[in-house]
Amino acid sequence: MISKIEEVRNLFEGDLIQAAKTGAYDDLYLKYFSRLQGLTTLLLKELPGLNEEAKKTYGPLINSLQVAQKNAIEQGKLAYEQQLQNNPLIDLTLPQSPKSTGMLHPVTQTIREMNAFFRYYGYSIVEGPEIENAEYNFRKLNLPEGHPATDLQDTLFIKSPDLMLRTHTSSVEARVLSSQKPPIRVAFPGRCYRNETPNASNGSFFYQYQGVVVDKGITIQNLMSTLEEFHKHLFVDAIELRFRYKYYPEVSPGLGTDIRCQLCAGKGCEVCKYRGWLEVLGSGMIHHNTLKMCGIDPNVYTGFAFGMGLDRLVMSKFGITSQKSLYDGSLAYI
Amino acid sequence: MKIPVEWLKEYIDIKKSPNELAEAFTALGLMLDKPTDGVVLDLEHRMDRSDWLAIIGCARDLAAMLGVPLKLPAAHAQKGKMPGKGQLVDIKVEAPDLVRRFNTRVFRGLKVGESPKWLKERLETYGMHAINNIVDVTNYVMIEYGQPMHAQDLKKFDKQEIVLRRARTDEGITTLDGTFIKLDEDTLVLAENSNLIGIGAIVGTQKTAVDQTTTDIVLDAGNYDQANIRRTARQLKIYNETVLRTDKFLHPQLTQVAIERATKLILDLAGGEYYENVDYYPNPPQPKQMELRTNRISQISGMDFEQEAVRRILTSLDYKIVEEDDVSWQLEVPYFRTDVDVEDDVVSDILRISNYANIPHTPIQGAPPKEITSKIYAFEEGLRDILVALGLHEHITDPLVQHGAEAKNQIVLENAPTAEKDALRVSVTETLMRVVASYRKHGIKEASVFELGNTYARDGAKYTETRVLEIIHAGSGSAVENTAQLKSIVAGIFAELGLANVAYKKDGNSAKMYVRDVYLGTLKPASVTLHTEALLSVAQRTARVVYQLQNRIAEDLSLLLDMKQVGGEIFDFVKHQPLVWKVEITQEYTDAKLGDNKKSITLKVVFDTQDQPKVNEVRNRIIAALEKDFGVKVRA
Repeated sequence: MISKIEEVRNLFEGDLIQAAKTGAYDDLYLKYFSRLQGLTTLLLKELPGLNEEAKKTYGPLINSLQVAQKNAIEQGKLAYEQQLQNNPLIDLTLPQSPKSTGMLHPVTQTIREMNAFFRYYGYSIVEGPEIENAEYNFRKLNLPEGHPATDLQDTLFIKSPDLMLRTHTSSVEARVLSSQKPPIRVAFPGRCYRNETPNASNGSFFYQYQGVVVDKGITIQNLMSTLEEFHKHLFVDAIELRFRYKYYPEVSPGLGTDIRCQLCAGKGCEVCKYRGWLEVLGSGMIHHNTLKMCGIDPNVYTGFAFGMGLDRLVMSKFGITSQKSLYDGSLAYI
Repeated sequence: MKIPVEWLKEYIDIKKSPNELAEAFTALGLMLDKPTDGVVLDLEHRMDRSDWLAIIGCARDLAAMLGVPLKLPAAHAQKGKMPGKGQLVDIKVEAPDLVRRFNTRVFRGLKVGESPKWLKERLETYGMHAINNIVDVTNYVMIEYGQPMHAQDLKKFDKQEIVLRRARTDEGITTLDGTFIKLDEDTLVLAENSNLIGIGAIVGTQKTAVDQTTTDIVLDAGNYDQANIRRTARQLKIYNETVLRTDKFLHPQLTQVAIERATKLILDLAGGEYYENVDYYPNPPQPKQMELRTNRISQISGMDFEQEAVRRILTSLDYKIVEEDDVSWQLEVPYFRTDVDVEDDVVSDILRISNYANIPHTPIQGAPPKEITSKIYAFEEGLRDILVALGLHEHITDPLVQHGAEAKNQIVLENAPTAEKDALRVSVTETLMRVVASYRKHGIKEASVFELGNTYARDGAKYTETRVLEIIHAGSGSAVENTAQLKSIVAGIFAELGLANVAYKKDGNSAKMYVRDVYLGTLKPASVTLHTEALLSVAQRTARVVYQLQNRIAEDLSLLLDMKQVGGEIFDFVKHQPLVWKVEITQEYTDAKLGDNKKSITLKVVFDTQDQPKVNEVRNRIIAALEKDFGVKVRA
């Protein structure tokens, strides 16, 4: 028996030296420890057939052999792997191009950032059709035909005067107010169209992001607070806002919102057209007529609405210089 | 609206710098549009306030905000002389639906000449050229009060009349700047003795223009149907200082204020005498009444205003307080405020004049309402995450395309700006393909891109928008390899959605995908279109399949089949055999050595057992069936 043990021990030492060269430690393990034919396994299998005395003599010997071999394999393997990593061909200072996930479109990224804010404050995200009728795109928003304010809305018609591509996401506001009962808290990003000849820098569609709140006791103070918090979320806590009166047909009173130009710190530059402020958003208290036309009693409920174009914001965030390039395949992602 | 600072000071006593003035105007709703040079304030105009197209209108609001009085300029309110026999200029309104008022006066014995320096300077600072004292006065008063006026040389009239009527289709006009314009029947024109002398409220003609030789004039200030003027001006593409004002909601009463002021200036600057003439004004509107409830102010603003503060603002804006008590004000809206339509517009005035900067900010109180975000919105957001994790980039492309003659259900636009974009897309493939083409042009051959967008179709009177996920994969390998990669992306999406049994059915050059009888979309060699609503309807909640590692027996089956054969059927057959746990395609190729029109597919079949004899049995049965039922040669 002792000679058998010695034989296995010697054989293993030779194999261990080989394995250190080739790294074939898994094969080495199987040769000695495979369940059916491992050389050390076979020795262990002989133990139960021995008499008590022999068991006492050879048991510990075989066992210590087993432990020593397993340790040697483990350590050898570690050492081999370390040695592999010390391969002079591995140059850790040479960078590789990044392994990357896909990327969301900058507009989607911005919408998500905004959604995150509004969802936290209990807004639902809603949508509406892009093919709209005059009822929802104009009339319910207090924009009668021929009103000078429709100047802002050069419409792409599918069938004039009643079927068109929506000129703003306010049509979604009209739909939500007509179909939901207050309290209402919704935000709606979406694509809109204007009848403008596409040129080198502007395409025929753009994105807007709007929101609407209707409940008892909603005031212009709530609107101002919401916009203030929203801009802190979008930019920085220290962002400086300016609120001023501004006319929009679908609200009264209207509220224009500017942020202090961050490029020139308000001193005036080309980006802010030397105003020191950047106009970011239009808003106001939902017009009495709009609420009424949508079936909500304006004497019981009040509400606010706000809306902004997304494209300019996305462009400045991502350093993109033309609106068109957001959508024409000239964006590549790292 | 451009406001020369020195001119503004004619109406209010202020010592503020141009920048301070600009700041106050901005708060009031007249934002500074362009940087100021200290001489002129260029203020943005928002189309509602026709009185803000006049310096006096802007000055009134500024005076109210700053708490200083507004000084109105001198006017000649006295009656003129009665015209003698044959001296009356007849006014015939043949289009009464388009003309609300046509207020005229006649001046005789004038001395036309250069305007005084102050007048010329003011006009030029504003941006208008001085012409002669008569024309300059009409322009000056227009800028002051916002009412366009028109002076014509009476001696150039063939007949002492002005007819206001619709143009005939054969008529055209040569404007003051020498342009000839053809007219249509909706165009309001001014005529005398069948000569056209102007397009109503838009532009005059050379024929009756006032010049150095003029001694007698007829002066008119009109009020018209604003929508008609807008239409004509846009059609004729005329945008001048007159149209800027006449296509807004001006009040007919303004004609009187303006004509009295102009009379004063004409008599001062050109002498002569003035005669009463026709004031066509068949239906003077009643002054607008408005109730303002005190609690409405606080309902909108969340603030309580002192009664006295409200009164001061209302009065300084020229609201007439007809009646008042503790709960409400009964007001008469000043005529020039054609924008005031509802009570909240008066509330706006109060908040605006007290300056928005003084309103506190308070968060919304109360719990948010029930969530109504649609399932499909949330689902598509989830799809985006999956696609991005699979390494695909998102794109958004233009849904406006060129109308394809063969696309029967395509929605075509009526007034497309260009022929290349005159219809809505019927598939996202074509628009997203442009992204791949653009990438290729820039030397990027590998592109995996997706778009979540709409396709649009028309079915009779029904217009539909369909939500679509489009994926295009362009690889750098062979066509078979690229398609294999695309299929792997699609399989990855299905795996994420927990869809284990998607059937691919051959349909010409594409494969239609189904779960049970739900049609999910179509797979093509380089692109796939999936209907997200359909995906949502079959997606499983516990999406990803999780399993524990286990040793299983795997075997490769190399099949030789006909090029035309539907691989998916063979795949499905093998996949559904007992003990088969998973089937993967590990190789697909064709080679001359395989024979004509033959291809080879290697399936890696994984069995859910470690029992080799059982596996042998199943495998042999599969091989036998493939050879017998599918006519496939199994090579190994």
